Amino acid sequence: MVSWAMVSAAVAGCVLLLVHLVLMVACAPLARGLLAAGMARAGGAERVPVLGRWRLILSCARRHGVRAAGGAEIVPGAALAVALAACVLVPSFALGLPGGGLSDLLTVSGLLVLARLLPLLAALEPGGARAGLAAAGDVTALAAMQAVFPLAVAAAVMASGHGGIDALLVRLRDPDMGGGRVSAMLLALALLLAGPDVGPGDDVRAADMMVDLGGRGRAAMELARDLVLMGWITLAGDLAWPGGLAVPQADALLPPAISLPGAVAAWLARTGVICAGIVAARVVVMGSARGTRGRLVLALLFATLAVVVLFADQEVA
Amino acid sequence: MLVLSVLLLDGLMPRFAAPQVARAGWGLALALALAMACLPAAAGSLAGPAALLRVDALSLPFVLILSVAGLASGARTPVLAGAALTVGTGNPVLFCIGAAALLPLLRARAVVPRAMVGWESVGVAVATALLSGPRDWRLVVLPVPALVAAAALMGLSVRPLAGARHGAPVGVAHLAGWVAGLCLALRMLVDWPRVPVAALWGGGLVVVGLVLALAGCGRALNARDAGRVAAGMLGGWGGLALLLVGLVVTGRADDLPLLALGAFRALMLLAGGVGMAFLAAILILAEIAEAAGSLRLTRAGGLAALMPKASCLLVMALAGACALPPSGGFAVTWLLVQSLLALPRAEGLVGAMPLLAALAGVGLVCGLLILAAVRLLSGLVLGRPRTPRAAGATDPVAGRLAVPAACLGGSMVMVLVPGLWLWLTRGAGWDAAGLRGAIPLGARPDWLALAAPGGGGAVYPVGIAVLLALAGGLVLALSRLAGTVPSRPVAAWTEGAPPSPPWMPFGEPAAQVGPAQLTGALGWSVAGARPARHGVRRVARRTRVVARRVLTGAEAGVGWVSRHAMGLVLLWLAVAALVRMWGRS
Repeated sequence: MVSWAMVSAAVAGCVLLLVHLVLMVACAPLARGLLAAGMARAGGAERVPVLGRWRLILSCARRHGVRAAGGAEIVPGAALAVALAACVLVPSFALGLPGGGLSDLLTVSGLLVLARLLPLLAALEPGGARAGLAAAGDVTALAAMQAVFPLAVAAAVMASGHGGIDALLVRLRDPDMGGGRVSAMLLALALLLAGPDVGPGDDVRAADMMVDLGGRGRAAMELARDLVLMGWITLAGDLAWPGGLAVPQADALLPPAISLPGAVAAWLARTGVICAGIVAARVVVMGSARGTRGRLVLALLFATLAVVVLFADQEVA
Repeated sequence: MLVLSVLLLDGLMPRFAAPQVARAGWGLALALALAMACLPAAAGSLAGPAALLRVDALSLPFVLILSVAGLASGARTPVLAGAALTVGTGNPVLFCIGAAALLPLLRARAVVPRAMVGWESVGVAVATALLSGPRDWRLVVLPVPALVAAAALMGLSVRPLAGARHGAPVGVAHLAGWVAGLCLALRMLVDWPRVPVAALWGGGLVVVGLVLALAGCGRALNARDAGRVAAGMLGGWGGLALLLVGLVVTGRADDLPLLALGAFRALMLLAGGVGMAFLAAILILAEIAEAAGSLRLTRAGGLAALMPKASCLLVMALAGACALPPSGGFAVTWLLVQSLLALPRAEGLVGAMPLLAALAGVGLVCGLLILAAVRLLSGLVLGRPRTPRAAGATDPVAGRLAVPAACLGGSMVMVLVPGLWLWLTRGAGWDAAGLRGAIPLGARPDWLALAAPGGGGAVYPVGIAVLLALAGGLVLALSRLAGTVPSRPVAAWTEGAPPSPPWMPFGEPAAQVGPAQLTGALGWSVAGARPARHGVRRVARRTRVVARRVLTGAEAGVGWVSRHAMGLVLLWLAVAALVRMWGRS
């Protein structure tokens, strides 16, 4: 029997989900803008405004669409839809929202990879050399990085007994999860290395791939790219610090309203810290010579370490 | 079985019946198999000749898939009917005869390399002989010949570059051999042994399956035409199928029925969902070859604009064969990863390391399958046409694409509502998991969800599809509200290069991306294969030199001992006496 309370909780959950999605969309270009500004400032280059990505997207969206002859009209919209679907499954500030049962670590990583793959297919479509070469390099990197995600699922299942993101984060909030938290942090590092396109040269390759695209298609593609980055950053932030998330109380279906502003602030703080970490890693650790192979090795290493830490904790206990 | 026998006769003697009658025969076989799958499992077993003609629960899924392949392709070859007859029988001797008879037919279509025909015949005969006795020691060596026979039937090879030279472009015969090999592995390693095969062999099958899958992906990445790329991808999935058989074997040996059942369900989704997607791809590639000529990746191209419907179907079929949500490949990979995590392992970190290596290998196989699919699409569908024949290609009439579209629809239904296909194959799953009598509640398939064998959650393929549809609807609605007009196609930017001369109507080839770019970036692929081969040869040469020196030393030692035998005996007596005296004191 469906009660009034359940219906109202479902409606409130849908509203919260919409707020989550709007916040993700709003913050995604800001996060990439923050990365660009931070790297420019740390690298001594010309100053880049944080709002530059939003300005680019809005200015593209106001123009008439242009695409290379032979290119498909549907691809930018499809990429944006897949990125939005992936972002729905990544909890930003609250757990227990509608659709949380679908949010599996392998599913989310698969959707985020699919959202990165669709623009690459679009870049291969006109047959140009420069865009095609850039897309070929990115597809190869994506294919190699697939080795990391099953390891991430293994670490999550071994730490919490569950591969679902909501259940994993709820379990990680338990006070007795000492080694599991360190494992989750290493897992977050592995995912950040394997997933998003924040490596050296990735921005140049993305610009090469979209050289024949203008107008609203370009805006959709840029927004999809930023959403994918935001999805990875949010997922890594959740794993690294699940304590900032608002969770439902004992019998409730949704988290209490009073905890939501603090959870949103915690999410923004996590995002900012991770962006700063990426900037520091790009400037200090990963020079322009470090390519996909180095990132793959590091990601595999961190994912393996995430499992090793669990066993070390058991043996100490 | 009688219907399939008539179909085999029709394949062997093409004038036996009209083509429509053959297709009707496949339809009748499919309807009968569906009816048998819907009926409750028969209690008790038949005896005598009736038992030979009976199609049991474990045969039904494979007969269903081959019947669909026969009905969809309309191919009047003895390969399909022979494979269906082989997998339809539950008798080891008849199965052995069928598998051995299938080989020349597969060899005639270049599915099986010539060198493997003899090995496979010996393998299947030895495995059947080992199964005939009640002794348990025979099971210790059974997996070796069974694995050789299954790998040969599936067209698998450990040589990553073999497909480029000897393999044939993918066809329905590939699918028939693939299904027959899968059935052979399941029958010989899970169903027919009277006691379960040791769990150690399950681990061995996991390793061998992973190696074969990587080799299949290597063949797909090095193949020159679309048909061979698809054949390599099918080989990659075949390796993963053997890996899943290894998990079923481990589940049976360690008395973990839910693990065996989960792995078997992944196997059924692989054979059904991914197999149907491959069938659709085979049929579409045949249509494209008819319209555009050569399927060589360096000759075709640009079919997305010339053959939009066929290209769209091919993209969807290849998406179904990749491990990206919500495709069939993703459902199989998800279940495979969860089954691997549910495996019993040794205590401590050392016990987890092989599991982590296997998981990384599975992820790499999935990535290489994606790369192979993108390589096929970039050479065939995307880019520009490179020959006049390809530039003149047009979509076939809608009716000819209806059959591959129906296969694709069947594949989608199998994946999005997995309970339907798993319910049809429930009897086979329970047999494979060793569940007899009362079936526990957790062993009954859910309609919409795929549950992890280790209790690590569930995945809802239809939920992911609905979510994607909602997101697509949202984007579409926003686009309509914003009044977006279709974008204007313009000439692609060529870095300021002058237009191509008239004798290059399809553009400058050097200014276009080709299939080599997608494999050249992989260090260990085309570029890395040669150093790897040299490394293996160097190790083999050093091993040979060391073995020769050891043999020479051993011969010298034997000669020295024989020359001084008497002295050595006296020395041994003296040492023994001294040791004895020292022990007493």
